[in-house]
Amino acid sequence: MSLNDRFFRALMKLLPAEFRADYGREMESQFRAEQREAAGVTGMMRLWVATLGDVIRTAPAEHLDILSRDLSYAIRMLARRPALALATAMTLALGIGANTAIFSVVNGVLLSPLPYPDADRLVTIQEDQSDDEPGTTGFYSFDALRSQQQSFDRLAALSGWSAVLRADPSTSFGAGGQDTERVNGVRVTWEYFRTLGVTPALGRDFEAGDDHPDHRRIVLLSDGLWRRRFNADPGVIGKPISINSATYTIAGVMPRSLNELVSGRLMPGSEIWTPLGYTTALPPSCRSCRHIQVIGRVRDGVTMEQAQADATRVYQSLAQQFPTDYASPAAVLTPIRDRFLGPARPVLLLLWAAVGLLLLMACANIANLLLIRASEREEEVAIRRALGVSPSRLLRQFLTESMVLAVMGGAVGTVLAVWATRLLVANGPDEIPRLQEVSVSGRVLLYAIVSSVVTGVIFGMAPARMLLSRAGGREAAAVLAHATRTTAGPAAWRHRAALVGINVALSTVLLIGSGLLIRSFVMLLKVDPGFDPHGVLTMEVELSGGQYAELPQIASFYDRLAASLAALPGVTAVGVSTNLPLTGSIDQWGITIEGRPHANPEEAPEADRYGVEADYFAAMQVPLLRGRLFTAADGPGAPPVVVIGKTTAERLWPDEDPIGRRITLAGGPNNPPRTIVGIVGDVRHNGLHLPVSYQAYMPQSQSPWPQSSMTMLIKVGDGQDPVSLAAAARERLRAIDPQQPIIRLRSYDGIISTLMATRRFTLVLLAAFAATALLLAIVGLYGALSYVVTQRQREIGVRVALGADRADIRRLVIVQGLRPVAIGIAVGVVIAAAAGQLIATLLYGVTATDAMTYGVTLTAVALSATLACWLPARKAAMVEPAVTLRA
Amino acid sequence: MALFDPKPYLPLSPALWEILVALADGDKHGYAIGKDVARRTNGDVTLRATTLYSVLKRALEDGLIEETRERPDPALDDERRRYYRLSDRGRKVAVAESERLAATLKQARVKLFGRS
Repeated sequence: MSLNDRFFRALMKLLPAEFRADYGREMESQFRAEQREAAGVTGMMRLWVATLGDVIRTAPAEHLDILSRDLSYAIRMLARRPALALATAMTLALGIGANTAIFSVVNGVLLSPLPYPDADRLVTIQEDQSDDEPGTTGFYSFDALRSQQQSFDRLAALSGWSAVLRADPSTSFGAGGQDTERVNGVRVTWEYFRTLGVTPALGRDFEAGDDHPDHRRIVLLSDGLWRRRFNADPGVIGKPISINSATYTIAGVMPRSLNELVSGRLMPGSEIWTPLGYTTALPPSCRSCRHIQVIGRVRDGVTMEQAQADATRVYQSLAQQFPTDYASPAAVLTPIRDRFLGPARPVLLLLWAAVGLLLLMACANIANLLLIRASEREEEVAIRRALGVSPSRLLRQFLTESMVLAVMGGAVGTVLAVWATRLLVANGPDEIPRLQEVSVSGRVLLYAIVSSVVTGVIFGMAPARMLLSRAGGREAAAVLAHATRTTAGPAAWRHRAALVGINVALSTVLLIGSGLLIRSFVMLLKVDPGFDPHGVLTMEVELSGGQYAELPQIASFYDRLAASLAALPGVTAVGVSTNLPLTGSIDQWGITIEGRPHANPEEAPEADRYGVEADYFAAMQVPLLRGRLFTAADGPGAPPVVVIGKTTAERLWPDEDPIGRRITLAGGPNNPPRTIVGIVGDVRHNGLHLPVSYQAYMPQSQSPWPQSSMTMLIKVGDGQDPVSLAAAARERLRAIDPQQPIIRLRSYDGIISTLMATRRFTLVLLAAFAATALLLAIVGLYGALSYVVTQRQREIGVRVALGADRADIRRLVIVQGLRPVAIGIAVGVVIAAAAGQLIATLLYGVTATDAMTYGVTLTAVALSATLACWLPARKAAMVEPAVTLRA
Repeated sequence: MALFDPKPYLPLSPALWEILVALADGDKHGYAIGKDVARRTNGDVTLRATTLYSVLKRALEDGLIEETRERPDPALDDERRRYYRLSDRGRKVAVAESERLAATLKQARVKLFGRS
């Protein structure tokens, strides 16, 4: 064969195989004749150009032609069995819909780019003390870090800020109808937005000169706050605004697109930024005061490890200079993607894996349905093969049918996904960052399309291959001759049994997973928090204004408010506290026991510290175990006292009675030793699933430092809804001082419920997926076995006629059905045990291989599978030989 | 049986029209059809292999032409070739198209030259 001929043959590969099979030889022969006529090199070139153009013009039309025939054939075929088509498409729609919805969340939360340029180089820098989790740092340390580091383009520090905005006639603030509004804000060093790489949409960014204690009173607004409270008026730039009774200037507005992940995660809901305005000369920058967060942008060409080593070097040189302020510190660098999105990753990936399994099961079920359908079509295939239709042509046709089903399922699934995504966004826990930004984007749609096509191929391939191998392996005539009696042979059952086994295995995995989560959830609900959250209304108040600068004024305000609230009908006790368990608040003070000084004060064990007033212990129902609680006599002038938790007492004074002993909390001037007067029950401060911490309570009136923000705890009698008191409580506050805003009013039960939100969210979704999975497995098993029984009626009839016992027949069918179930359960258990570690972080009080969960799950699967087998088995046992054999 | 109506097939594509005309005076194989067309149109219409067989395939499916089993003398035959014949249906369509073309031509002449 000449080179030209070979090229021509290669070119013909662009045409559909059927076309080549029909006309290829003729076309080659014609091309050879044309070559003979083409004179010389020019002639040959002309022939090639013309031939090339001809093939390229014709090939697409030929492919389309075949596709349209396949499509119309497929639609005719599906229309013949509308119930089957509908069942298949709906199963798929559910699978693809659930998958796409979860993917839209995964995409929006985990995969979407962060709102900062070169976000991969942005890190948080945490101080890691040898005795503690990595966390915040002090301004001294930050200042040293900023001046001595060599690995970062920029560093910035942030600290929380609570801003109470008051109406000011010179700006449009207040147009929203509310005079005073308290918003969450962040105080940042001037380079904060430059570190992140974002600039204001209006006005200007902070500059170095702004970040000074004397001229720091300027603010940047979020787009949301600017629209909500300033009517999106561009004229506000440069205008004064009253915040916390001081006058600030509005410097700019941040862009709408900036959904500030860093501020938003470190200080939830923050809407306003102001310069930190610290210098190392100010009291808040004591070396051991660690209350600021640090972010940095790692310089190009510097690795994370190098940057971390560099920051650690700075910390260690500080520890050498000031050995009593640091306990062998190190820096921990975490990319902001990992820091802020990382915690949501396991839950989302788990759910994604679960819906992935569900979709696979839907495929297996559909493949099973189509296998049954394929057995009915053996005759059709045999006839078409006898007529000379090529196997590849038939394969293409079967796949087109699957594709039509997949596209139908995918289209309905996408509609379901749009709806389900909205549902997920509306009901998802706040702990999942960026959830509100989740939407069905182009990438999500692409995912839906690709998953439809891939599933179409997966579930279409098995029946198509089976049909072709069967019809191809025998003489067509033989198949035709036996067409009425074929099918349901051992090979066909093996295919179906394998699919049933896969389904059982996957549903076992999902059921075990959700079973473990349910057990964890129940165990968590059983955990005693150490206090009684039922019937407690919490009201967070933050005092602002010059009249509340000192401790006595603050104490007097809260005393009056507590007394006023206690007089409300139905209220049994009112407490006040600086700090509440299970609310995520952190206020840890080092404990130093008199007579047991630490070589390095930084090594003192830290206790959660509660500055309490009024009937705190009664409102929270924290029991007194020994000694006494605080009384009205424990005021500012009286000897300082402290009450400690049970674990604190047992661990720090294992062999003696702590009552009467003296401890210092935090230390420093004006902070004398306190006498322990009582021991109360432990409370869970950091989480129901976390161990109990050291706890110390002091009368807030004896605190060395004033704190303007406190939470009122209003306990109501049994059967009364605490939230019903909200309006009255608000009124009482207004009556005392109408200028003071309430930060938050919520029931303690509500707080605990929010705490469980992520677990509940994961649990509900996973349980729903697992239930669907079991249903799919059972329906699949029932369908496959019913078909076998129908097909084997004749054989069963013969057996009965020959004297087989009906119970034997029933057993025969059940055993046949349960064999793949048993294998599926075994495989599922192995997979679940191996995959258990994936959900280990979500478990509480159960191990990933909890025997009880496994036992209950396996029993449930086995029982439902037996039920699914029993119905066809009963039908088999009722076969009348006289009827079936005559048929 | 209802009378065959060739109208739905009209107007024919130039390639199909030339193929039907080429087959009007006798059975031909593909290559011969191409040659006949080129000769009659002085090379204005050249049917390359892919277009030719693509049109032939569709004409076969529509029943305008049929494959014939009668083959020429083995000495003149190439076994790879298939021979095509104009069917009754194809002849009717070709006739209808030629009448349509004639009418179009007549109208064009009146417009362009002022006479038919």
